[in-house]
Amino acid sequence: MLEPWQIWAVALGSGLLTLALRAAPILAFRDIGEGRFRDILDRTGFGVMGGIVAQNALATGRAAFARAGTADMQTLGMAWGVAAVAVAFLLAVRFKWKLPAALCGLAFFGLGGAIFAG
Amino acid sequence: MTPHVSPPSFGAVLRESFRDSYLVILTFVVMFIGVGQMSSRAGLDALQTVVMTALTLAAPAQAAAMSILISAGGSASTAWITALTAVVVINLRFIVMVASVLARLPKLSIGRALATLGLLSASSFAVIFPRLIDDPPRRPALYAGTICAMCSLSAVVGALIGNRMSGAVSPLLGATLGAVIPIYFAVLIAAQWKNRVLMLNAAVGAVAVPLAAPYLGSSALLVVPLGFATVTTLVAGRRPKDA
Repeated sequence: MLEPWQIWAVALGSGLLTLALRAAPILAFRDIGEGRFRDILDRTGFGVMGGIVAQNALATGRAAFARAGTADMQTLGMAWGVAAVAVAFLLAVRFKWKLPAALCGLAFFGLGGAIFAG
Repeated sequence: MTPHVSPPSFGAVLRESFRDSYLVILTFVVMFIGVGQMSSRAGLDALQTVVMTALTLAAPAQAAAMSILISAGGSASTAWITALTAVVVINLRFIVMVASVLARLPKLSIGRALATLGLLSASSFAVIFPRLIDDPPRRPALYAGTICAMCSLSAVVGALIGNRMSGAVSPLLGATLGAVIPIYFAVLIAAQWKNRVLMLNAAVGAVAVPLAAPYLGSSALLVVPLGFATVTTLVAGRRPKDA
């Protein structure tokens, strides 16, 4: 087992270091204003969101289908996760829904997990 | 004469924040139950779990750190350094997220900015950032701060439950609840459908980040979107306006 101080170092150190990462741009960029720099940040923000969506869709899809055991099923699960996201996205674009679109996507995702891996 | 419009009360902002983030709050509770269970296996007690979760607020980073501690067991005394390094590398993305939100807020003192965004997580970012672009609330800093605080509280509650609970959530239920995050975030992105530039960046992030992740690791989420956004912004800036 790790020493108690080592566990505290991980628990507290992780938190304080993460706070420092969040504080860095606050201390570094005092006046961002409008212009090219903000454009870059806006675009990066949406790129990060797209990345989070894709990575989580793949991971949760694979996890949902993991009980089926085979690698093919896990690949199908990843595709299913992406499809569920696409369903929600298209409904949100088409009908300007938020919660209903998310619930439809979630139902599609859960249905796939229940049918293929249940 | 322009009629004086008083700013919304704290309660009104709180209700607005909750309305926009309740799905993420619910998901956070479930997601952090898993983190809390891992922390228990890694040897963290309830207080350590609460401290780590309240300040870190990053399920992937915390899960990575706990995995390192669990796999090291008693064999490696340097595991704590490896775990800390993993947390820092995975959480580098917060630099960009905080900067992006900060650029959309009115100018704040350092203290207020830290109070507002000191607990920003990926999920609260995904709620706050599109809203600030699309339909900015009348008290944007308070709105952002209350969402961060509510997400933080729900993460702590989830982690504490997970740390104290011995049983596991069923894999299918856990995965289905975990799918709330990408699905809901996609819905939030869709609200910007008419802004083709932001859509293009979101699409490139969605395709390129998973492809780059095997080579760049967790920093892909930071490096790829930042690189694409920088290049396309600079290229667009060089084009003649009458072209």
